[in-house]
Amino acid sequence: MGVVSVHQYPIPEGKSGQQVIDHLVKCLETLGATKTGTFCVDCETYYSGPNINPSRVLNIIHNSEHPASCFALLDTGTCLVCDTNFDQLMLTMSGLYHSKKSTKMESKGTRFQLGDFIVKVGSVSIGPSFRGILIEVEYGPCVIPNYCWDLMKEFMGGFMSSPRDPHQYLQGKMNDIFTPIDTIQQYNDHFNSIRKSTAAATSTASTPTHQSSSGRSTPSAGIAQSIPTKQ
Amino acid sequence: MADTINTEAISGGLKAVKIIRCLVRDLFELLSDGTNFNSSSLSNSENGCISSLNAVGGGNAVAESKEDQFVSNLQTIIASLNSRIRELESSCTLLAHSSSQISLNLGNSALLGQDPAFERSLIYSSMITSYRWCDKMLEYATHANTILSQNSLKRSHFNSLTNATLAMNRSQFGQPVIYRRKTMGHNYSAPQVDTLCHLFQRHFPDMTLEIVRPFGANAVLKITLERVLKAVIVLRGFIIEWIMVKAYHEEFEVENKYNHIDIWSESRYEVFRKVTNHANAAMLHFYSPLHPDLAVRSFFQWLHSYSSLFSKPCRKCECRLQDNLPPTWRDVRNLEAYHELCRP
Amino acid sequence: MNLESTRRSAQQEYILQGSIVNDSCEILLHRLRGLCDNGDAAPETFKDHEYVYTIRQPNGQPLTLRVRQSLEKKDYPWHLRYLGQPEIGDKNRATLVRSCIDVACSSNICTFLSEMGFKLDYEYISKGFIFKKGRMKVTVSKIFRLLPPGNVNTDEHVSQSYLVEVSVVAPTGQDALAEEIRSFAEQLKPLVQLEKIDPRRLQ
Repeated sequence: MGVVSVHQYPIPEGKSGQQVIDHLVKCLETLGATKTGTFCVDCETYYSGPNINPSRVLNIIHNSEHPASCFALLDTGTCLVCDTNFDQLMLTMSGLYHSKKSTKMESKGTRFQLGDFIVKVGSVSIGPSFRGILIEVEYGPCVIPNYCWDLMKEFMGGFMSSPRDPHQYLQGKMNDIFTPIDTIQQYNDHFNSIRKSTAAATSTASTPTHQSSSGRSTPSAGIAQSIPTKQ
Repeated sequence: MADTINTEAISGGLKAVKIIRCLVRDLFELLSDGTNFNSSSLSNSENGCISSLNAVGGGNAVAESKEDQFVSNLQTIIASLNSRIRELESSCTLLAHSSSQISLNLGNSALLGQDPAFERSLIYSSMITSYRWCDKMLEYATHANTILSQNSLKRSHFNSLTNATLAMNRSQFGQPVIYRRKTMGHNYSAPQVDTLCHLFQRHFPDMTLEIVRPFGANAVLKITLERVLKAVIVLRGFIIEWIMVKAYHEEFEVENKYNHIDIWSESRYEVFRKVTNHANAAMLHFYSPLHPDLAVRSFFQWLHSYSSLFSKPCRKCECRLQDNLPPTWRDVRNLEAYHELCRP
Repeated sequence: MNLESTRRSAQQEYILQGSIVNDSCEILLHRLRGLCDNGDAAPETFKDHEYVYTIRQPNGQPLTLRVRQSLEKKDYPWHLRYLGQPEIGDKNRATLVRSCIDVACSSNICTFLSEMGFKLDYEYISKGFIFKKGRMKVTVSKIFRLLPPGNVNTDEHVSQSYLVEVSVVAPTGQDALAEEIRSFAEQLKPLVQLEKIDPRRLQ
């Protein structure tokens, strides 16, 4: 496992998410990338019941890159890595921690390989509605983010506006050996910020019911709303 | 050789068949004509003589002689037919023998001819292409052989230069000088190798060296350079024989096998496969049998420059990536980083 | 509680328990070595540190989770285990049955559970031998207190005897396994009497 950097890809106004994804895929294919299957990172949020003090939020994340594992992140920052039987255990704890089905998020899309780089273009959705694009770039041969950050920046510049700094979470771990947990933490942060911006967007919208009605049929409508609040 | 026998047998067989056909035709002709034929055509002139000679009671004798004639004719024809058939059989056995030899040469592919669905399977055509590839490979190999035999890459000590000095010595002193082997790179003792390695270890603190000896006296060095790469170097005495470079998080150890080092399998990553190639080239460059310790030391110095593999931009194009690879080549003199295609 | 779906997906543990005094343990080990698989190898040993965490659920029932760490093989993953309420059943049922979820996890599980709101109830060291026969697992172990607290090299044993357990973990509905366990337990008589033991009745 190399170094992974996850970034949110902005959607310009007047374009649908699918258009942007198609454009990105075209860019990558012109660069010579080959499709190597699909991927999916999903996140389910559990909230603690009233008898747990202080109250906690628990995110359970699965990554198709580690299909037998399950990552449980508490809002304290602790990340437990375990096998997928943990999902069953969460069901037995349904009296203590409960999830809202509508808050299940996932980033799903195609996986590309370009030399030693792996690029994943994922469309993020909460339930049925589209919420944004996350791009994951992995550089396999290197394990220390600090060594290869400039290299990855140059690579990302080839098909997207490359970010100036690594992800907030990664900045504190630039000289440590990268682990799969670090990937999950980045996804968790991005999911949280997307969730927050969505919440803000729905609260600014005059009718909260509008969001649910926009649903799958017109995904761009939901995006167009969430964009202005982000900036 | 087999071919000539073959054609002889074929021609002999064909000739025999032709004659047999003629004979059979004659035989049937004779049989269809029967005895009447003899009286009318075959011994027409004789008949005249005989009839004139035996006027009385000659009719019977003539008939008898006719029958005898017929039988004897039949006998001669059948006898020659028999001999011809024997001839044909002998040539057939010859043919059968040589054809079986051919099928032996073809091996299993001869069986392809017996495939009823011959047209549908693509085995034959792919066999042809593979034969063509084989021929091409043979051709290239012979070319490579001639080229390589011209530029000697042999690393043994007995090259033309030492032979020349040997000859010179002989002529100078007028008597043959017994050539004594100097301490070459490959006959260092194990403790000597150990001490030199410990010396290098002190010299490069961010490079950890581990010496293992899975093949007896010759050492294998397991090197970890910072947190960038791992390498395995196989030494013969103090001459570097083989290098394999892998990523920091890849393993050389084979699972479930204690103290077993895999020096052959390549890295998963293109970068390190490239670096391995360059390292093997550098190993040949730094090779010096007279000062093996110096050679290994400069090789290590060169290898040590890879600690900046991912972070150093190319000296020439000042970029980090080319073909999605960082600068994988290091100059053997000044240790500058270059891309493979940017090399000076 | 969504108990039904849990029960369907979870595994069941079929178990019989018993105990044997120290002096006779050696004979039992010989017997087990002869009965179980890999009899030619020396019996496999284990030394585990078990932490028991509990939390009170809204309905008043406590939820218990067990965390096990191997002290012999430090590179093994930690083991988190949930055990459901044991079902004794009637006379016809040969073994105790309880639902069971096994999860292998990383070493920060203790921090994780306490941050989730669980409280450490008690902990102990379990040390002994493990045998396998087909799908069956047989353990002969001794329980030690951690005295003084935190001392894992303790020799404060709880009793003068060994705990003997025969168990199989399998998907729900394989009741034939219970019979298999019972017949195996028969072969260990009269050395050790393996029974269905309900911990609730012991209290």
